[in-house]
Amino acid sequence: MRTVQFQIRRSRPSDGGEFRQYPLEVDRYTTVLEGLLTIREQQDPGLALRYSCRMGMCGSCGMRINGRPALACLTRVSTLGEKVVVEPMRGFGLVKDLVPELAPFFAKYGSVQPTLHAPDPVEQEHPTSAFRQTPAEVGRYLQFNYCIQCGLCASACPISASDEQFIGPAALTVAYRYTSDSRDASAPLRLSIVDTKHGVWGCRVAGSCSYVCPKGVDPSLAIQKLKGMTLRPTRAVAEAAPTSPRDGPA
Amino acid sequence: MRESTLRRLVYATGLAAFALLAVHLALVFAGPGDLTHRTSYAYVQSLLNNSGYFLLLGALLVVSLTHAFFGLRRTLLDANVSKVWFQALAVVAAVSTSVLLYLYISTT
Repeated sequence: MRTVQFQIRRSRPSDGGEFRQYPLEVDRYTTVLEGLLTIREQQDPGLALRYSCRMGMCGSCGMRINGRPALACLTRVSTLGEKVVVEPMRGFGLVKDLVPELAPFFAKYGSVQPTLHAPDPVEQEHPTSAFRQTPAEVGRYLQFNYCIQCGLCASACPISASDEQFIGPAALTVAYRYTSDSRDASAPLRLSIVDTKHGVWGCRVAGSCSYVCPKGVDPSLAIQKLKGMTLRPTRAVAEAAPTSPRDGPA
Repeated sequence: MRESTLRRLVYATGLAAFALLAVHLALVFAGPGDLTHRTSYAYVQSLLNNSGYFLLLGALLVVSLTHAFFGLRRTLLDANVSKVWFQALAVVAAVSTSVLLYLYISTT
């Protein structure tokens, strides 16, 4: 066990905020989230933070830890040194303390039609058979499917910080994920949504989104692939088309 | 116009400028005599009597300006300026390209 100093930014949207110091005993396995919950339990019951699964699946506990966007539940204090500086994610509004306002983030996420649109709407609602995919078809989008919508990529993105209208890496990644899915038939619609100066063409390939992603997703790659798709939409639709027929009726 | 269409124009004008510049430099460096002779007024004037070379330089002027103004547009986008700036840039691009093209044609 050793004692580390937690410096936590306490603030409300109406004030500039301040850092408060909290000494805390930790062991080599203590995560930042566990530290924050202990501080709230033992030292400062007013500390506001958002969390849920505690195992890097829900994406709720994104925050800036020692200057870098990260999930508090996946960041061990033992990797951070004697001082742990915790701030809310940048690029978002603030609800309180470490809780960012994510409504605009999810609005952008929803704006790119992040759902499967089958060619036949009736079949989509009342499927008559399985829609099988080959490993190659799944491989086109699999890594992008691991996005947990934590917002760390948007927080790290310099374009999101300077252009409020930029759709952002997470939304563009999910746009690519569905556009490249062989079960989806709305590639032209989705490509028209992202083919704007605040869409894929706003990205300047800083790559910080891919650097901070806790799930190993590469949003920067997805955005560059989307750029290629907007330049060759016909080819993009053809490439995303299923290579194997559906199963027959069950 | 879609952003991807504008981007295609950027790529096309960039590649065209590169190709035209390569041909232009090849003609300058592959000519007879030394470099001083090949860049002399009389020699360049004689080259410009060739309508193909004349068109090549005119095309190089147009594609270079187009590519450059697209670059300025991108800079304005990054600067988050208002729409007026883009309208002003479009006017400046059209006027300056026309004036330079007119000067090129009228003085050669």
